[in-house]
Amino acid sequence: VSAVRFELAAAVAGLAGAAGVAGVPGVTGGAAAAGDALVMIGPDPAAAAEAVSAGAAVLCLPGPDPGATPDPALLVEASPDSAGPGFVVCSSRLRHTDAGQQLAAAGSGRLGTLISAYVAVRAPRLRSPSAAVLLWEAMDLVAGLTDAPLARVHAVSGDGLITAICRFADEMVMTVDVAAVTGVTSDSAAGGLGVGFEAEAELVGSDGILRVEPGRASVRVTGADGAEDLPFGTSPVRGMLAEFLAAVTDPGQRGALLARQRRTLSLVTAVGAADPARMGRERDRCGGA
Amino acid sequence: VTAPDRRIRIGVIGCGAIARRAHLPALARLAGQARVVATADVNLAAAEAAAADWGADSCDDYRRVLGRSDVDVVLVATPEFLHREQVTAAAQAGKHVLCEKPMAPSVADADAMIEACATAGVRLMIGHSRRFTLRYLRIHGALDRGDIGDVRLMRENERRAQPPGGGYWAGGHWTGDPGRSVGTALTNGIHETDLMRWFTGSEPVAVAAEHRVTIAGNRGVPDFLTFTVRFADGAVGSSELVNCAPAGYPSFHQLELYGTTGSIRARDHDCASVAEYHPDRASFPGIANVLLHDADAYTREHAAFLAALRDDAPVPLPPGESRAALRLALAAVEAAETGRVAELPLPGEAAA
Repeated sequence: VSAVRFELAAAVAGLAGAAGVAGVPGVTGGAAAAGDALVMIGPDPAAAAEAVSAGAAVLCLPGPDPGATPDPALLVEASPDSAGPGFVVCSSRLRHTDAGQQLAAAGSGRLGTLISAYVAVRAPRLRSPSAAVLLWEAMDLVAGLTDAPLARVHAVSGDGLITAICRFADEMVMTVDVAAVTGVTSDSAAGGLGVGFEAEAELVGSDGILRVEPGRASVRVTGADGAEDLPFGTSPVRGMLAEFLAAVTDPGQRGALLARQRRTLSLVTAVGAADPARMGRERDRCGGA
Repeated sequence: VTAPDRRIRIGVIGCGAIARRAHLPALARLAGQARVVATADVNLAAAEAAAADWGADSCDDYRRVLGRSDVDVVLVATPEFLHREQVTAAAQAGKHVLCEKPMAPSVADADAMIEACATAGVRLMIGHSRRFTLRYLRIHGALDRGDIGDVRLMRENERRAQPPGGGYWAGGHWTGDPGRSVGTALTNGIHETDLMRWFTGSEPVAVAAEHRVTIAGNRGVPDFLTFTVRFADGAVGSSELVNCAPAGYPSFHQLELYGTTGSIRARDHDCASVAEYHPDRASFPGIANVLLHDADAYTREHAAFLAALRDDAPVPLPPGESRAALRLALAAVEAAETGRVAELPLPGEAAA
């Protein structure tokens, strides 16, 4: 969290300077007013809800956590698409890594027809976000790869982990596997994406594969004509913040962002509805989301 | 005076790719312990080629190999849809059997093979080669020592690049024939189902899966599979198998094991393919070969089987283990076909 706080402070200062406005440190949710844009670091969903009620736009870090009251996901769901009362968006750091952006771009045509997506997120066992928060980040990364309705979802959970398989009406299959399991000597936490946890992603299309390799600061795209490495290194925080501020000022962008987050929310909710803890004791649910 | 040749005499049934690339080179390394005396393949030229290095006889009918009194053991390296018939016939002919994985296309076939060999009093072992790779032997040793505590999550993904024309999933090959092939659940996934049980030390209770046909020219056999397994002790297994990677994409196997006190990772595309992580240290116990057709693994597999025969000892990988791996793989197929979680034991079957 401290690294995120540092990056955010720098990003806020830069963006505020560019916009000709001043950042006001220390404003709490209760002090927010209509038109304010707040970045809330840490688990304080009650303050976020209060700020939204006051008409503020809130970027909530980290992502939704079903254990929180209220769950920020509910605030996302309730947020209006157009200008008016306040709204909430949740963390999307993984999607805003360069790798995430390249994955989204590749998903829009470079790889041909998408066949499957695999995303694994690994976080330290100690002081990690919950598996649900990791699941939000992972699903947010891949939610935009297909607009097709979700046909089936299966999930199984364990201590600090969730594995989910989603099949869409267009036949695309996503496997999302998140786990807060790595130890202090693991090489995972610091490497690669710069988001504090390790991510592996592989997008398989009819014309090629995009692979985000854990611990490496580049994306490899392999097609029939060979492979290309796309390096990355910029912080995802700036992109995430820029998207949030664009949503504050542009109703069209707000609608698009909230629609995307609702798509992510529908997938996360569907995984929860598959109720990993019950798997093996009763049949899973199909259809829906 | 010439000393009697006490080497174990082997008949080879099926002289296709897996025999040519893996088993015969392994047997060549063990030429001091065993010798090939006869080969059979419906493609006589393949049988002749396999026999040539040994000065062995060759034919196009496996029954002629089984009828020979100078064959002690048969290596069955044919497609799985032939295993029941050939293994049962071998048992009835009094031959010990080392059979290529997967054991069979159905649990019923596997049970018939086990029963036939038990009735005949001959040994049966299924060649799950990965159990004999240095990589997985070391990992299992680490688990046995309790290096990472109790396994909570195992994930292994496989990637295969497709050669021009789609490889063995297309072009008339039996692997892409829905009348003969179950698909990637048995072609690749049988390894993962076997390793999941071996590494978790627990039995599966539920599996969810999705599969697809992704390779042009494939006549309808799923060549993509992703599945997740819950084990009785709460451990979770996960595996995704992709066979449609473009030519040039590195084929690889990527394993992660997370335990209560540490973790292990092993990946073909790392130089150090085994790495262990502990609260106070990380260690990299060795470099091991890429898994596909690992010559050392097949050599260990054959050597262990031959040693069991020589010493009148149990085979190192009892067929019940292979049956259990098959059962889990077929449960994944059922789950993918129905879109529902398959719970184990499956309706109407015993657990083991």
